[in-house]
Amino acid sequence: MNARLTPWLFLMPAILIYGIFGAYPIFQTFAISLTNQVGVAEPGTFIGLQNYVTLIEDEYFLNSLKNTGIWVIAFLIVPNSLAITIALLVKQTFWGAGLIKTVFFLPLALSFAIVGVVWGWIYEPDVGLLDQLLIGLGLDGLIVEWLGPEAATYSVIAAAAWRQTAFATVVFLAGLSAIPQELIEAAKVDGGTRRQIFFRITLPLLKPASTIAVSSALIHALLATEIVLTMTEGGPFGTSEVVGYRMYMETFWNYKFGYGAAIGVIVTLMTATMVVPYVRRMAKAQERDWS
Amino acid sequence: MTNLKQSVAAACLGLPVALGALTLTAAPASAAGVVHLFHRSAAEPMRVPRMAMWNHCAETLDIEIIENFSPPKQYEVQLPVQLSSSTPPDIYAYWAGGRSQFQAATGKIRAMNDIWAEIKDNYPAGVQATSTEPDGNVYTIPTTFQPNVFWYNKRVFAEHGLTPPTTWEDFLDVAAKLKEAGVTPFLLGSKSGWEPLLWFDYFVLRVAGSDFRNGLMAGTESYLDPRVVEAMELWKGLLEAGYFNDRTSSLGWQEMATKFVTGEGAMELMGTWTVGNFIQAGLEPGTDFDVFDFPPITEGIELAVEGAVEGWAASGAGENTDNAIAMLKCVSEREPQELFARQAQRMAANKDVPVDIYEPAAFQATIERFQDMLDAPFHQNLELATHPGVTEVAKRELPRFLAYPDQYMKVLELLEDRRNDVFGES
Repeated sequence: MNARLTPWLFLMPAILIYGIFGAYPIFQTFAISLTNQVGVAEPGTFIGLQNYVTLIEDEYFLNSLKNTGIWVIAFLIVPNSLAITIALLVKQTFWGAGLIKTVFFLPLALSFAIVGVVWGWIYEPDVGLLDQLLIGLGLDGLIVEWLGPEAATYSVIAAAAWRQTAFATVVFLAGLSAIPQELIEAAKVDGGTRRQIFFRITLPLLKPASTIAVSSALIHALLATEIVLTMTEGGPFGTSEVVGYRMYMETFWNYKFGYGAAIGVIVTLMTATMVVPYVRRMAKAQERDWS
Repeated sequence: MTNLKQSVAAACLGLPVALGALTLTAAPASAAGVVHLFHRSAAEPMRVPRMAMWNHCAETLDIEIIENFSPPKQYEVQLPVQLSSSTPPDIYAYWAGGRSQFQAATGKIRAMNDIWAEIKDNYPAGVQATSTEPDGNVYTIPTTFQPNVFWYNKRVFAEHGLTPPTTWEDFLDVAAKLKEAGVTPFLLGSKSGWEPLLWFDYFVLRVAGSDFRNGLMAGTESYLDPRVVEAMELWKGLLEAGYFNDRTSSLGWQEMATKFVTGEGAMELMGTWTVGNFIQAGLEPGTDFDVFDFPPITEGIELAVEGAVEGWAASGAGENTDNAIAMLKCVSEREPQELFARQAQRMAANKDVPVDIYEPAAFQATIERFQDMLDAPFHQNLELATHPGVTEVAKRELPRFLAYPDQYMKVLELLEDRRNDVFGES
């Protein structure tokens, strides 16, 4: 068999699967976004980039875009910082470490939708766990309307970050386990402080793990929909709406399939623009480190 | 060796055939047909009565039901997605009202005009009128109806020497006295977005009347019409007078029911589904709480009623459509609806279901009053009566208005923009 063809033959199943379930829907979504399609009963008429032009002036879409920006920043910083700290902590062997691991990993077993339901109960005014806890501690003054217009976005992010932290902790813990112990010990022998060891050895060697954790955080932040749906439905007054939710509303609630598809294309482009360069840079850095 | 090969081959061929034949003879008598049913039921207390109703029809017609259900919130999310797929459910829970006609955009809701003539007499006139959409079609076969009415805490009213208001002036007077006594006159949470729509509907109905409201829902009247502005200004007056509870945006109707029961608030404009909370909390219908009509505002305007007629629609897609239609005809009848109403304690839409099945007996007089309401013009609430695009803006912006009453014109402008977007400028 032709040696040049052989690799392609082996790749063919993966290419076919990706083509049918990945690439084709993306192109189809782009094609629909150039139409004014309403519902699925009939195809729409070609309107060029009109949906994209309308989006630029759509107050609701721009608001959801702003909130998604907040999600991205918060999701990159909060769960990953917490996860590294927790991973370093639970990596130590001490009494109760297993219990702590279980407590921190538990949210991983829950979907974002379920996390939304549970945290919805926690945030309930007056009778919710959080309010009750603050009242019990005599900190009534800290109580706010957790799902009210001022705090809703941050409260939903906090709930989602709870689960994302669990995921990132598992990833960083695996990354920490892969660091050769001899390197740490050699650094200690050479007089390296804990701080120096962390920043000069541990953190650089966590690059593969951080690639996964950061990419996952980015993707979840950009596509956050189900937790918003279950906790606030984008409210109050759209203050917690994100682009994924906006896409759902336009497509399945308002039946504007063309318009919803345009939002879908923008979300795809945003994800690709942020995630792909990051992953490529990290991959190159790893190649450099290993060569 | 050859014999061994032949034996293995014979076993390979013969065994499946023998097992297949055995399965055929052992198979139970299969139903004449199948329907895929999708409904919204949060828990067994609602699912069981619904399925009792459907199972009655399934047994009568010898049709097998393949059931799928979700809690209401998830149902709202999943249904449009399922209807947009190539394998939608044959029958699904839906609402009568203008919204159904827009569902036709999915191509997965079948007009029921052909069977409606045969079954419409099962329903009172109000339900019949509500079930016919502005486009002239009937899409949903009704099984329950629930008017939205003013519930008032009789203990609180008695404590302050008040009687249910029958005029707008009385209404304001009662609210002022309650406020002065430290009781919240009107309970309203807007956490789910739809709760303030009930108030908006009644204000529009009382200020401008049924015809105007029908036009508003059909997209032929404007949200910037002076009558709508007047309705919003009246509502704004109540908000600015401090007659509503605080934290409206983070509280929902369940929390309001609790405040009603404790007497923290005196009145709540809500659907009949809330009555279960009152009764479970130990309030006695007729003694501890009762209902009154939203008072008249503009002289000469008929006192229309607003509420929800719930039912079932057929997607009309796939090979089970005939079965679905037969099942929908069946559930329009008294017997299955009585089964549901008796178990779920929800009011049946069928006019022949007797009142004495509802409990407690003290509530039956109120049920009769609700049934009488169907003689007045009965309107589906805004969420079900107009294009979902307009509903989205209403559910988003009216809660904003509760928090910031000064922004009422901005709210109306946004509603008007969406009306123009979905219905076209007129």
